Amino acid sequence: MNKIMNKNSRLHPLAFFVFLYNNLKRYLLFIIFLFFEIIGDRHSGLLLYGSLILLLIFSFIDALFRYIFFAYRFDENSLTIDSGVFVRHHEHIPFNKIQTIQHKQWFFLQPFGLESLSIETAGHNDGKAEAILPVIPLKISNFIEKLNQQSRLEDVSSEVVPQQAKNKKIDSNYQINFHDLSKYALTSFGIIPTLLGFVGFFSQVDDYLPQSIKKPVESTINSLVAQEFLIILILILLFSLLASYLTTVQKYYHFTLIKSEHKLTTIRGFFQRYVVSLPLKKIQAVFVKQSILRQWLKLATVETIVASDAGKNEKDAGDLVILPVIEKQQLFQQVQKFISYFPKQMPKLTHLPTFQSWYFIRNAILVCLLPIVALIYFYHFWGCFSLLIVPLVISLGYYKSRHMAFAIIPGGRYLFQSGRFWTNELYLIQQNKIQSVSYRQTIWMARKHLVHLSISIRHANSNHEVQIRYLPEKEARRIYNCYLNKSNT
Amino acid sequence: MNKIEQLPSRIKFIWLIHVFGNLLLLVIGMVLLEFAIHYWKLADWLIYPALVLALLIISFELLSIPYRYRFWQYKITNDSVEIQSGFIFRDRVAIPIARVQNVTLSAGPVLQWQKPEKVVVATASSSHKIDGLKDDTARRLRDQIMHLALEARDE
Repeated sequence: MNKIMNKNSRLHPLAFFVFLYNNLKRYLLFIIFLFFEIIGDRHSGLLLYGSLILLLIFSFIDALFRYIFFAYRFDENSLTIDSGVFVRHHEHIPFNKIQTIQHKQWFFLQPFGLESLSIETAGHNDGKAEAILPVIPLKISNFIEKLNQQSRLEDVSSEVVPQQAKNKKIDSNYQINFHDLSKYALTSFGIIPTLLGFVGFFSQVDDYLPQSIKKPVESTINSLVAQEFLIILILILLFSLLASYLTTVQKYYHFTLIKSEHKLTTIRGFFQRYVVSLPLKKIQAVFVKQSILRQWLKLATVETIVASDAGKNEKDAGDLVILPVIEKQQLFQQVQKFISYFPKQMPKLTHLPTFQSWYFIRNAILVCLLPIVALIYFYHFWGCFSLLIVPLVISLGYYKSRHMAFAIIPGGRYLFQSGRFWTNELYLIQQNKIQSVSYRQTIWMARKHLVHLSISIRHANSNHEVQIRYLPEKEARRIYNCYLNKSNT
Repeated sequence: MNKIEQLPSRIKFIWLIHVFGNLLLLVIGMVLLEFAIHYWKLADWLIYPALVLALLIISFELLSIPYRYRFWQYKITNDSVEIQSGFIFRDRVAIPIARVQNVTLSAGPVLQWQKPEKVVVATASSSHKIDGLKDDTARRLRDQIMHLALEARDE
């Protein structure tokens, strides 16, 4: 292996296509815009065709230069990446500063034994903590990973052979089965963005299509009877459902979670195989999420809140899904296998007294009152339809209040539950991961002995507050004092 | 020092100076507004609501000084910092010293002249401000945290 070290290496030629793809993706909106302008016959063709061709040529040359000027090399201690055409970047990453390494492999790279490597360090200068090696041979990426692990073991004499340093011991693992995955995909709300996408697309197309195409379509639509119209609507609905189902299935295809030594590794993806490993001590909190739909089906999703950006490609940074779907019954047993401080069964939660729901409902109504009044004032009759959101908001408030709960578990662990947008959220946090606890009340709440209790934890590079609202003062004191006293010992 | 403490009483004077600073800014704002009204020929009456607003801001700030002072309290023990403020809107936060990542002492020109220092206690995720501490108290807090930080601790 030593022959690949200390040598300037070029990316695999296929990297050119990755750069090209990224460029095209960057200009995608503009290209679509040009495309519609062209078929819409709005302006003189030459200008449009010209700019489209220029754009393509530019993307092509840019990608080519990027490829040519990209080089990397590494030795036992560090990785160096040279990039940039006009402004040359020399990125120098010592292995012991690397936080996480993510492997991504598009399906078409598999036969070539290539993959992409994202390296994240702890430095947080304007979110540019990542170095990416777009297309490199698996051999090299595994070697880099090995060197990284070796440097983590640290202080073992420097002659240790990589093979020796890594005898991978798997403590527990979990693989999703297709049945569960299907259930997960079917109950995801991914259908809503897809539907919105449809609506958006059609409204755009309507503006841009030339008369020659639009006319016949319109006349067909006009001649449709209500029944046929309904059928089309149902078809669109089914199609969106299918699209969202397939997207979710491909994303979590063959999802595998492995616990080995002191880290968790997740592997997932159909078209793009995505491997992330995460040191266990980086986990700030375990987060169990259940939308109301999944509550009925007794399914839950388990995520971890992480101090780094390992979950960057998830919806928001700092969350890493560790179990996409799990039956509520098995939840505690399964998670406990991977995260040792997770309780073996559901502890008894202390809920808010029933009467407290009133505060949540009142606040929810107050929030939506102003827009409703404004709408009614400006639109009179049509504005009255905004009153329909009142029952919706009441149910949100009620749901929230019924899900506010907490439990103090022996061993300096806390369980907090809350409900947001008909989604039940359960946080398990260890004493030493809570950064601070704050205790807020207004003078009116003080009279009724109620408190908002906020627990601050670290999430990616910022703060995340878990809030239990309108908690009876007695209980809030208990948590607050427990937190303060525990940290004293 | 395990008892609840108030900010040094000099902080009231410092806040007062800050209010005058704000007053100066508002006066400059008013003058600019007057110019703008003349220059762009805007409606003349615009200056009156602006004046009323400025007066309200300043009088609120002035009147709130004794209130802020009365209810602003902190407690530093060997293991934790607690900060409490407000009466109508009460806020009380507990930060174990083991969670504190760094302490920043800072002093603007007014604070430098009057001696107290502003202390910002930062954890890995949030930061909490104590408006003014006597310089010996501030240094002691800093040393205490530095001392704990030197001991091994879990992350």
